[in-house]
Amino acid sequence: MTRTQIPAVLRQRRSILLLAGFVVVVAIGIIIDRVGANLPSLLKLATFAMTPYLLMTVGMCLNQKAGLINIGMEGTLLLSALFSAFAADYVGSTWGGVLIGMAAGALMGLIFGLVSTQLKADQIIVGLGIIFFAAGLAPFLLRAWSLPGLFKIPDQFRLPTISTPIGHIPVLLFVAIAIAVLAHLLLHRTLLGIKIKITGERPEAADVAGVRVNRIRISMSMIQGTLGGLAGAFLVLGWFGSVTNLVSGGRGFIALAITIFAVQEPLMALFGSFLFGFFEGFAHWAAQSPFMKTYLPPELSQSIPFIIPIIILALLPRRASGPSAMARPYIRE
Amino acid sequence: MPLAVVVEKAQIDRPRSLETVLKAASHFSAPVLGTALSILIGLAGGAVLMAAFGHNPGHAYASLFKGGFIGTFEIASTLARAAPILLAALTFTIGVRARMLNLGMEGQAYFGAVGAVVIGGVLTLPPVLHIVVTMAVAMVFGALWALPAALLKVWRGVNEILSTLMLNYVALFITTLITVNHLTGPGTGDRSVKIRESARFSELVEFSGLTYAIVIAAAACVLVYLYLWRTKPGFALRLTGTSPDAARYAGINAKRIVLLSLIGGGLFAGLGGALQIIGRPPLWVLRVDMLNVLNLGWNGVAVALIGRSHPLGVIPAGIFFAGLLSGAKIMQLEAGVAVELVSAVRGIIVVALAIPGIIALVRWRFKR
Repeated sequence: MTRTQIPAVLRQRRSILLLAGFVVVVAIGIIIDRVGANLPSLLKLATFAMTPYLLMTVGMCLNQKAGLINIGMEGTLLLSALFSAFAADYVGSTWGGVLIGMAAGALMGLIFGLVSTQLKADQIIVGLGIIFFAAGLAPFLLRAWSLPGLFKIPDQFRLPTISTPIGHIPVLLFVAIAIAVLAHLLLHRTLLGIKIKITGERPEAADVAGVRVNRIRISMSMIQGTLGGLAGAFLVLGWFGSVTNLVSGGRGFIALAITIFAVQEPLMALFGSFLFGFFEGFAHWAAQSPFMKTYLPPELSQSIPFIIPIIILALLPRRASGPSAMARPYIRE
Repeated sequence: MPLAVVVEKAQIDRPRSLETVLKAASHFSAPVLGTALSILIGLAGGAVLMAAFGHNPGHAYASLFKGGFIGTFEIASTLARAAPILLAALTFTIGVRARMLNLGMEGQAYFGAVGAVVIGGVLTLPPVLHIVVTMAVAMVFGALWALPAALLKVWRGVNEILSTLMLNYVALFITTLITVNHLTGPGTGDRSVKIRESARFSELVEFSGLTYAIVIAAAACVLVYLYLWRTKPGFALRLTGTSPDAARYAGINAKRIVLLSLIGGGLFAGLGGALQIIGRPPLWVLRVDMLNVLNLGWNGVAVALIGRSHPLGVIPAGIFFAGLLSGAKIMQLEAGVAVELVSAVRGIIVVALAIPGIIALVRWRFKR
């Protein structure tokens, strides 16, 4: 259904953009390799950076397909990161921490879903509220459960990695890719997928056809929360190894940009996440590498992951993307 | 807007029965009641949170409100805190009235603060002129940082929520870079040069930090109200917000409204950032990590939402919220509850505010 709705030109342009993105990525890679810097370490950082993006973006794709837009991902990411870190330490197991992080995310997704379907709230403002709530609760919890500022997770609670030619890359990356493929199959090969899409496009028609609009929306919102929780758990347990109240660092907002870039398609999100993840990896690498630091101040290289989405969004076609009933609560007549 | 409707309705219904008057009153009071209820829900959520962590909510809230609102000094420091927040709230208000969700006041305020330090801390000018020039330049700085989002919206249709959010982060890095490399004061690495005497607002109440900045902020609110409700371009802006189709039919240039609302909003966010530096004794500096401007924009969003996105509504909302912020310090001292609780409460209030007709919802639940 969605395939026919996106005009061919639009699809083409997005693919051209994607291709151009990869050309840029390869060019940067070659240049870096030429100047004698360590390319594998950059690619390794990119795999770390793309994992949370992919998880969040797939969740957002499903949620937005069903007609809900949650800009509060940033808050979900922050709180689930915090909860998973403390839970891993408290329970004494990595996967316990991951589960608690996912549960925290799911709970926030449930609250978002309930408020914006049953109570018909404005979704953007609810998302803002979630960001505010998380921004307040995170330092509050850090103060209550640990030192104010930073909580370091013991090393035995790190998520596993796989050794590859470019270095140790996270196992969760493959899980995330599998989730993206599954989400694609769910959307385009199952009855539930059709129900999700029609809920986002024509909720009235869906209701008449016997689809429980609000139930689908709430469950998609919970899936987004759960995946966001997994991303948050990965941030601390799989990557940073410590948690502060700035751990989310704008990633939830970037994921929102990737979702728009990906026209809510999970497979497109896979490529989008790689592209954006590469640039974030590049930023981290440039901030660490002594070679790059001489040319680019760390402050400027850190802002690359935020400038790239603006440029890419500006290059996209003007037409607003997304299901027609997105951000509009369904009110039964 | 509601008040005008009320007056009109009351005039049409000649025999003013009690019912029409009551109806009109409820039309006006529903948003106020809904806001009050949302605030109560937020405070109740905060109380639950405090109780969960073993604090006494009653004691904590007592010290919070005592520290924020009871006494001349407390009210003065609350007002001092409110002034910059009011301006950031105006940015959101102007945007939202044109159906533009400008969330970039955070970054625009950083740039305003940097502009204030550049003019107020580096240049030498005669006393009154210095303040005026500092504020003007800060406003231009804030508007300049709103410009990319506005132009991208007009030229390429980039979603303004995303572009302004991204620009906030870019602004943080760039202003930090500028401040660290070019504006640090002698002998310190973590703060900018001090604002010169001639560019400082004089204090109204001793040691409270309250300056004439509050007068500027209140005047800005009134000015924005008059502009939006009493002038032609203001009406065009609001019409574009409430019914874009009607606005297009009336020949209003939608692109011009986008530019007007985003860039005009940026002016006020920049001024807010500046007042945080030149209107808040005793420091008169900008921290290089933006610490004393951080969160100004987000607080402004919360205040604008509590004030129902009305330029006059933000005044009580801003004073209330600033009271919470300045009372939170007393709460932390006396009850041991971290100041960040207020920020969590802010989130719950905003979620509650997003629910339409919350009063009707509660009434309906009670009836059943």
